[in-house]
Amino acid sequence: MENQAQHLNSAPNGSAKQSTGKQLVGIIFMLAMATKMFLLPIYLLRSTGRDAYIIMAINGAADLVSLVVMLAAIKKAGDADFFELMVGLLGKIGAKIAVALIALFLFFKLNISVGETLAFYGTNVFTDFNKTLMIIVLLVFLAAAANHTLRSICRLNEFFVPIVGLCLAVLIAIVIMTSFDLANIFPALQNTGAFKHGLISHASWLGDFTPLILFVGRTKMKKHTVWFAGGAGVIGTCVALFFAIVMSAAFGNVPTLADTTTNISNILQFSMGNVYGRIDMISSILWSIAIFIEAALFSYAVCRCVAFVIGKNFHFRISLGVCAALYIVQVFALVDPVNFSAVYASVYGSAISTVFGIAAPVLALIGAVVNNKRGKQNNDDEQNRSVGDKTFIKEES
Amino acid sequence: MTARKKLLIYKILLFIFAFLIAFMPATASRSKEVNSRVIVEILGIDGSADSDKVSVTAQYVMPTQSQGATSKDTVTVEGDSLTLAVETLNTALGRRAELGHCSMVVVGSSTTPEHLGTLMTATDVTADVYLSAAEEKASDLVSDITEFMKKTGATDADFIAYGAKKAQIATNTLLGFLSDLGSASKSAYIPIVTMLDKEKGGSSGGESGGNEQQGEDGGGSGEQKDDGGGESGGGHTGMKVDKLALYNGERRVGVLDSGAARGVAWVSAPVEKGIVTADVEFDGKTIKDVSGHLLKKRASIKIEPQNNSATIKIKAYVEPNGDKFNELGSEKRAEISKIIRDAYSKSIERDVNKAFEDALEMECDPLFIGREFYRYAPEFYNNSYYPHNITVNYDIEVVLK
Repeated sequence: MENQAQHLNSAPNGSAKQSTGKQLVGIIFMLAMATKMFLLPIYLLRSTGRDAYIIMAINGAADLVSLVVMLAAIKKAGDADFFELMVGLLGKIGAKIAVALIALFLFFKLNISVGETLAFYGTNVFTDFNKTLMIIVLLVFLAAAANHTLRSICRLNEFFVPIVGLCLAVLIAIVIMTSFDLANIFPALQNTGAFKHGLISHASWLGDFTPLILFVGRTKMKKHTVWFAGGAGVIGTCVALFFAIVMSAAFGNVPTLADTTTNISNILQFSMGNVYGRIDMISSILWSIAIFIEAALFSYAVCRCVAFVIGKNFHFRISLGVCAALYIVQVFALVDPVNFSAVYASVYGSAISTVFGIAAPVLALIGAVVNNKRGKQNNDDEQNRSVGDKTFIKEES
Repeated sequence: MTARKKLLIYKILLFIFAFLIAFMPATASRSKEVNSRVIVEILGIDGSADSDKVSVTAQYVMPTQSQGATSKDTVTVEGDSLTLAVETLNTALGRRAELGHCSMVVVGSSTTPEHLGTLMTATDVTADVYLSAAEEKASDLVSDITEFMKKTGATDADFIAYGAKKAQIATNTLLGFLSDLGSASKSAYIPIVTMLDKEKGGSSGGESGGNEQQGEDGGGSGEQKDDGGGESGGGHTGMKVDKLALYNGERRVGVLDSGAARGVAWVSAPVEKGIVTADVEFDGKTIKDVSGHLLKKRASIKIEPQNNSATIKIKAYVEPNGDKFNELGSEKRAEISKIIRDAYSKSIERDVNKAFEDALEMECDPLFIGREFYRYAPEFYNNSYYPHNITVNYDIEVVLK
């Protein structure tokens, strides 16, 4: 059974360890900030005004806690991957049900990153943007990512991390150098009703670290990898929080004016005007690569989970199916931003994300602990048996 | 299916997709797109809360057939709402008007902030576009600026952007204006641009750059003059930016003169450069207009709710200009420096106080003292804050370099 699980998770050309510790650190850095820097600050602004950054901080902290649990699971799991741990913990049927639910959640999250990417390019970069056509370009990329290995996504990410880091440094430098009025985030919590509503209805963006289940048992962990990975999560969350503060300061007085055309690039220009040209724009576009990586990872994770559930390793067909489902949801169901916010910026969407954001890492950790105990027990049993055998042989002789 | 077959399928799919993208009707006809667009550089808005009509005037640049050539002109359209008027622009120009490159929005005297909110959210005009105000109609000012730019050969309307950092002018962007108005102070300002005609401004020649800073006492107004070598028949000889239009809530409530406008620039604008001038009394004689270059300044407002007071703190780094400074003599440098520092401090305080007093009469708060009370003492602001009861103190420090 374990062999089957191993086989299904392996993807094309799979081998036991598909990611290095360094690559895991890079992936965590990207996941920590990607979707948190697109539409989420705008939704938060519109519902809670200048307190948006506080909700972002709370969400970020909650995600960091789930990251710690996930890293503990990765550390403890040894060579057993997530699917093996689930089979060991819940049995074959239970594991399939659990993984199917996690796959649905990952698909739910995949739609956030894809929807936000299309919104960003449709409203900020291109004036005439045919969503029904342009989404195909993105789907081709996602299908390609799902057909490759975790290793290839990690390598791709490794290439982009320095570029994204540099662009973020440029954007942060612009904010600092132009004496942006960050004090406009004060006073805090003047409208506690709106704050509570914003807090309970915007948790759909939680659970950004869920795809890390794929790294369980697949990462070459070194002595300090866990610390570096945690640090990357903290830095990524701080960056997202910093930009949420900038947005809150810029729109704190006029939250209703923030819409999907609002992005960090516009806001930075707010403090300095067009004096230095659009250096920020290119930085923003390059930084948006982060969300492509996140979408690719979610897409890959959905396909791996589906492969485990159906018990077949049809990567090509599964990825086509996932892309077709994604196309239908994006083009027919979520085409209207109102629908998008009704689904995602809602209490129900938030409840789903909260449950899975907690459940996935906790299951992984419990699975890893149980697996370790069983491994230890098996070793002890084997040792006892061998000692017993030796005694028996001695007595016989 | 083997990996090689899959790869082949991918390649074929990608090729078909690339082919479709490249030869679709919209893409294939893209070569015409450059000629089917016009770039709007300045947008003027006239409209009032009482009237159903909104008038939009656009200064546009139209690419022409010959390579690198453009033509600059204006067009005025009217609509039942701002969005309809903007849409009508396309019809009037016969091309698609690109508003994303608009560098300045001119606001007429009766234009309401609501129009500007619509402009930001419902059109392609960006949040960072600079605002300037016309004394009366925005359409007239846009036409005058266009004529003036044609005459001087100026390619873009960056004088407000320049003023934002390099001159003692309190400028504002679209989002900045709406944000200020939405703040607890409920006040915002826009610099007023006025054109100088021959009688008023003169056609003084001889300025090599054709661009100089002038003002009542040299501190706050930015004026562009032509170099006297332009067309003799041109109506305007320059433009002046030295006053501020004040908004309170839903409309323009008044205008701050150049002294008060400088006061606003000292406290509320991110000005880095400028000129400071003062009359200095020394050894029984008065030296007029001793000027210095502002190198850097820092401004903050410290509130004291328990005393119902606020202190405006400004620290300015000034480099005195040589001529008048030397006239004061070189023997008593330390004493002279102190006298000049005090004179500059008084001059700055006078401007800031004038800004506060004049604005208070118009029920406005362009120094955003109310906003500071709301930020750091929201309880006091909600229960006890009344602008007329607040005592404003000044702590001006001038450092001579």
